[in-house]
Amino acid sequence: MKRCLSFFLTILFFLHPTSGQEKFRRLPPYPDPLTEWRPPRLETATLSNGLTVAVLSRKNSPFLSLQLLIRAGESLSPENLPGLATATARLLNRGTLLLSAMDIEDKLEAIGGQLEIITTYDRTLFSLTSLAENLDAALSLLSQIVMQPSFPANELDAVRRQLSYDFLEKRENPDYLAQKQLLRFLFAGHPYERGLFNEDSLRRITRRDIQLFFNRHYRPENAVMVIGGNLGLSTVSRRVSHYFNTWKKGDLPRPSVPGLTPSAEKIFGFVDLPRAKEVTVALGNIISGQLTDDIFPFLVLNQVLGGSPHSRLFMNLRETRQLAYTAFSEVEIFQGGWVFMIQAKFPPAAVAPGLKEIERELARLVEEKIPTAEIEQAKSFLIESFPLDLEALDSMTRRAAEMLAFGLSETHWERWSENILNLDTNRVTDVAQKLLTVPFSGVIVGDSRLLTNFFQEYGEIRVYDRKGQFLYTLSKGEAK
Amino acid sequence: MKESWRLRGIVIGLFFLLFFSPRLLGQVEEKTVSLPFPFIYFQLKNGLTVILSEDDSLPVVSVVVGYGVGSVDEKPGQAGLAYLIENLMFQGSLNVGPMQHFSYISRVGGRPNARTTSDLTLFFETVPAHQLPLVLWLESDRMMSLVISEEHLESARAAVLSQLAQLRFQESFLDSFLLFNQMIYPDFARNHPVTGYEDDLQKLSAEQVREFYHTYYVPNNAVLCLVGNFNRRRAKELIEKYFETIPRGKEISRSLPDSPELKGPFIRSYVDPLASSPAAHVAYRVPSPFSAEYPVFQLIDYILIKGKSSWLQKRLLQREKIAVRLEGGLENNKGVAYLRFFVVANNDIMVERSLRAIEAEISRLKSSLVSSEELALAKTKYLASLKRRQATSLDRAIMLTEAYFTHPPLEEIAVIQEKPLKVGASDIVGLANRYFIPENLAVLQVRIR
Repeated sequence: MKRCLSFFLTILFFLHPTSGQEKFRRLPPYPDPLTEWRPPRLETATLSNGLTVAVLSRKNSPFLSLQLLIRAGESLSPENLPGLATATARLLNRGTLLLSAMDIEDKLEAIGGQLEIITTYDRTLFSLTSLAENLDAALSLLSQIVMQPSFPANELDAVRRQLSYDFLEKRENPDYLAQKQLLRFLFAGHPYERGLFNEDSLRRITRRDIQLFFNRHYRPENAVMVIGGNLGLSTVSRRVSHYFNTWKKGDLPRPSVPGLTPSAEKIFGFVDLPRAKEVTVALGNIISGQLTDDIFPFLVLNQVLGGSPHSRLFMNLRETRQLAYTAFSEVEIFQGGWVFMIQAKFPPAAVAPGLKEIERELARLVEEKIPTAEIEQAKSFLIESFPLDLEALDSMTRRAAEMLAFGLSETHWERWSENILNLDTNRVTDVAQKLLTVPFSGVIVGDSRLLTNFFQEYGEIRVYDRKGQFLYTLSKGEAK
Repeated sequence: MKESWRLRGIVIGLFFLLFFSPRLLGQVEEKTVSLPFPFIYFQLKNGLTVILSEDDSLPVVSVVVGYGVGSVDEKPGQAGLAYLIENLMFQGSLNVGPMQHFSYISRVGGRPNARTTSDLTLFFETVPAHQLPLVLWLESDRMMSLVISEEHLESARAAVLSQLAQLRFQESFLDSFLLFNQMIYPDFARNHPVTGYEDDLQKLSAEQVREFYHTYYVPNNAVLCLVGNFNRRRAKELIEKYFETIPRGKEISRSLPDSPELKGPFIRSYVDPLASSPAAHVAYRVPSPFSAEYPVFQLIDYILIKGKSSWLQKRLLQREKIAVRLEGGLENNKGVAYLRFFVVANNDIMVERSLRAIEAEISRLKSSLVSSEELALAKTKYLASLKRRQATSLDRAIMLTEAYFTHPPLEEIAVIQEKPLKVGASDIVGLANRYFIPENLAVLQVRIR
């Protein structure tokens, strides 16, 4: 009998599909020894007019990356003129004293260049890449754009048209709609609210408003320039000084941004997006963290919760419960505070159970100690993926410019791994208990016809249009 | 005595042949190329082509596995099959569970992704350098033993159909792109969308998927490319371990009949209920990408449409401000090439004006020599875009993999890439007159309700 059984088991073993393969294929291999590496050194200097210049050297780079960051974001637009910081930045490359908008495009492309202008709540970034041999031409062009703009009136109309078209396009994007509406809740009453402008406010902005904003905020002591490429600090300082030394220092103190405070109220909003098959949800609140003390534990915390596809939110909501298509979390750092946000996509029928699961995961972080293995995995993810974030030259220099604008030291990068490596479960749990006890507001974007059951079951929901205008409130038991 | 020496010589010769011949060792001759950046390439005995390019500037490695298969290989009734398999490749293989590929890579801080085009399917990852064994294990497992069960197929099908619905929702001109493709490519192989048709995707059986997978996703139809910080000897050791015993597939012939001449002008207009604004598609058939004339059109692309300093962008968007969106460029669809433009305007009158402006700029190209400044500008733009395709380890790995499939042999890659830089103004005027003619023209005007 025993012989019969072992014969049968042997046959079964050989019939199993994995039995015929080489042994090494069955399990994932061990990694090779870790490659030793130090992040690139950020070298800085300050020119006599107050402009901070920094260099990140990279050998054999075929490109140069120039980031000129001006601490003039939408929070500095006057209360009655939201959008002014954006309009100012967009008009700068539309004409200088010597060059027309088309001349600027020609000159830019003649150096193999690309210029991106981004205005955020805190700052404006001029991000220029060019072929490596064109440092002088790139600096010359950038200096003309930010030091000698002519603000052509006809180009202001073009800027308004382009921004209006951009808004129109974005209003079809559920992620954009959910994020913006959530930020409207979180930034209510704060100068950051001005960054949530739409095309209507652009009509009020005049050429004179732009000139005044420019004169006040586009000053060398209010700017940081980071250059990346096959270069050293002495060459860069010399060349930057050559093109930017006539940029005059301002006489007004740098305005400070008031701190953001977490919302004590839990608000839920809805934006109707007909024909959308999926439902997009954004949940979040302000986090009162300290950049120097709390940022690294909070990054680990975010990694555990939703920083990547193997974090808790994705694994639980998508893989285990099959409620969501995606579920991630992220922390965005502003001068006035941090915004912690969770974004998920659900089939319409799964929105209510999905929201409950997100709440449960948030509560778990505060109430239960995170297992050491999970903390270690999150830490190694953050340490090992760091070089990947620095691979593209422009993302490396952009990150460095942001870092300097926040007033972090040049050694912040060099100590990146060390700062994460030293964290343990207790430290991360402490930060979770300190910062994650605030209520999370949320915004749901989807096709209202597919969400009738959800509206009837859920509590009070404020309904907005896609431009952010409040329409009405839905109460429990009501369908749209 | 002489005989025994001869015999000994033969034996020694055989010994050397056996132990040092790269072919018998499983590798065909290794070739070293130094431009545009250093790399080597060779083949394993199962036909898998391996490309290795070392770069120690960061502790990062990018891996691309490219298969010579795309939507052109699908038969009528199977539209979307290659794209479906791209999705299925993340649903699990013999030793890797559903979605574990994604999870293994992201767990170590890496970034996995994939892409299917009309004639290529690429799977790629960038990971911390010491995780190279993991990537090779994962990629070899799905090359060798993808699980095509009913359950996995249903899961992949649902994901693809959902992406299709999302695409339809986000791109309001999608239908017009499909219709225009059918106008300029009369053959099914070239004119159906990579993402497929919903009806076809619903009907695809596990058996059809299996047959397609076993035909095309085989080492002799694939390239494995590594770019980044690795030790060459260690990389070869790992590649041999994980890939060499994967059985070679049947030989594949992918030759497509040439698409018939356009016999234009082919001009149509239609009302698109989903379009958000009036628009127009314009295309000129140009010489094949394998012809000696093609590099001239690669440069014309930069003169006419690529970049804000191009003639059409300047005229339509900046000077006359008659269009709100303008895009396009040279399109190569399995040996057939078109120079395409897509313009969106606020109303039908503006669309008409945009069409006249496009015609006028093409006439300018035909009637006068492009100035030396404009020619130099177009060449710089072309060069910059070429270098942008080499900016990161992943960019370089993708470029080499694509180049292997489109321009073999790889030794000539730099020469082929530099051909447009040698084009003169008289080449442009000559070929513009030969190819920008009504017989090569197709136009589709999109009207809104």
